[in-house]
Amino acid sequence: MAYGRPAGGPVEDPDLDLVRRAGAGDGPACAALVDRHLARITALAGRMLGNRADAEEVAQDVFLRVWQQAAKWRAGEARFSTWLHRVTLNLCHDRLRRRREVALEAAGELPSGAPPPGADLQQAAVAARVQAALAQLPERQRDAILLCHYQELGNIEAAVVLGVSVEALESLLARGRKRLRELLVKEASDLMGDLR
Amino acid sequence: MTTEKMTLERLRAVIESYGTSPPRWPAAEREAAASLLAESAAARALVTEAAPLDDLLDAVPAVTPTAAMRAAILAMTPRAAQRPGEGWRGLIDALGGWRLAGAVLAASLVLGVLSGGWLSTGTTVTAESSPDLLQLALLDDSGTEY
Repeated sequence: MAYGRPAGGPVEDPDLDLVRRAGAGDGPACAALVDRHLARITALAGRMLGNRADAEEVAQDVFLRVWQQAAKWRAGEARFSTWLHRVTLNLCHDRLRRRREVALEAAGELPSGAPPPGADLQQAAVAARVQAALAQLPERQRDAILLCHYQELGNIEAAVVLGVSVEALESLLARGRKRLRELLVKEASDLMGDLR
Repeated sequence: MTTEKMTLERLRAVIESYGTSPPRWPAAEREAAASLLAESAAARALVTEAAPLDDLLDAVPAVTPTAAMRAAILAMTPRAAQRPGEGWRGLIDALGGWRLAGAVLAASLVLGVLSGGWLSTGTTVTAESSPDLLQLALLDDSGTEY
């Protein structure tokens, strides 16, 4: 559980009380933690892995670790949400690594085939192209964009999750977004036309 | 919160890293960025130029959790996974907790040894013939480290 945190003393953690109560076996506190974080963790895993089934499995693995750790949680080292994002990224990286090992052609598996029921086909196509571009980014750049753009973590918290300085985070973000623009520039006008 | 003026170059760097949405910008720089945007057409042009990438990123939908998934996660909580009366933990609880259970176990062992000595008929007690005692002795209360 020990990894970087910003200098300046213990961190304020809005989840601390819930985590302590969950660790003591308080059912409502467990439910509150799930309701507060499950959607964001599932969304992060979904964008990392590109499909619902894997995202759900990772989210369940994440919360299994939460239940194992809650009673031992030490305040002040890192925010619970920071740790949660770190664990989620690690589990997703493990899965992506296994995919590459099992079948190279499955690397960066994307949402494929039929879009979700009721989804707009053109919008689904746009989403698939963007997700494909995200999957082509170097791991750290993709992580940085997922944390800052989709998870909307502050720059300090995102830097802690990635174990880098804020300056390094900004560099990862800038390089990642630049690469995305290069990957999507040819389709950008068509894609945006599809969305309008 | 800093009120220092932001340069156009810094705003460009902020947008290149964090995109065009102010809530994603570093909190300490939002106010200065807003001031610059209010007074500079060149600053506003930076936002216009970078906006399409944000729109594309926003087109990727989020996977949302289902009610069944939530229920499955809550069923994994230690309390939910170990109902009173289920498994060895339940037996321990029923015996009054670890200390009392330990005393009961110790008394059982002593009685077993004594009765074995008194009533020995050449039968050997093995782990296979007393798996329950073996399991109790091997119970580990420590959690899993991550």
